Amino acid sequence: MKTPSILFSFLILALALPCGAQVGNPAPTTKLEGFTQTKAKALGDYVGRALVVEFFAFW
Amino acid sequence: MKHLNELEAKYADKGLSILAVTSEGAAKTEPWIAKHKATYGYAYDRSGSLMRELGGTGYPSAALITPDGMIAWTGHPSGLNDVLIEKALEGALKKPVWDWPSQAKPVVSALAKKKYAKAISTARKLALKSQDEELDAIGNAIEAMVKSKVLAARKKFNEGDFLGAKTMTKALQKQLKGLPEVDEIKAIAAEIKANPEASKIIKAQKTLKKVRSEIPDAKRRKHVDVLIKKAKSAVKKLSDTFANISAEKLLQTLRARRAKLK
Repeated sequence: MKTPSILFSFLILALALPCGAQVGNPAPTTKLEGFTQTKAKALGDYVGRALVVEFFAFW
Repeated sequence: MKHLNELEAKYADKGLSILAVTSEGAAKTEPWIAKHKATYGYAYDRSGSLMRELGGTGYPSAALITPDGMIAWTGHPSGLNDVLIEKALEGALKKPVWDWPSQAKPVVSALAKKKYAKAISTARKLALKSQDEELDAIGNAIEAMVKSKVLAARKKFNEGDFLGAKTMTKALQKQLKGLPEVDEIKAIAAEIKANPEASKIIKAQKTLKKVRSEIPDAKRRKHVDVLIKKAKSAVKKLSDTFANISAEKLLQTLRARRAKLK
């Protein structure tokens, strides 16, 4: 069943395409939990650093 | 996400931090991190609200945040390139604040509030009192950050990005209060005001920004067509301007979206 998985991957990619809607605005300060492999405890701790945030799932 | 390990290895010393965020639980995440030998930081957002607030609508997606907490880019991770990252690294602190000495806490607090004069003077005072060279280095790093902000505002003005320059100078006049660099910021603001083309270009840029913000809501071709019309109309008499270049990029995005819709 290769076709459905290819289609699914394409759909995910299409949905995640850049829309730039938020560019130029202040980044949210949403509270995250369980910071691991970093000494940061909150998004605010990255002050002064450029930050790449990547959202991922396992499926 | 091997690319994140690579990004961290390449740019961490230059001021880049990496944070992977998942809405999954630790039971699934930790084995995955171990299996993929991920070395970067990660955190949990079970509600997925950060991704939504950053405009992400699917996995994977990513965002690039500047050292002063502004969103520089959002999109699919494959679109994140060295040019974007290196631009965002301008003025970034090479050492994260969590590695600063504990007595620098008031400096961090001033920095978080974007009170740069206070941050620098506090670092200097603490350095003098404790004779700690690291605190002096922190003061220098914040000064470099300030200088880079001024250069960035000047660059925007020189490129004809009047909206970007205006937005920056407005914010920086407050943030740099008490520092000599504020004079250069005021000079840029005055030049924008004196430029006869600037107000027309700013108006067009605002329209383009609005169109850009409406893209996620355009679910059908006819909606995208309306946005294309608005974008074209905004820059109708503004050929060879920054607004026109922005409009061309926006139109490419709109056409690509249109091709995927019914």
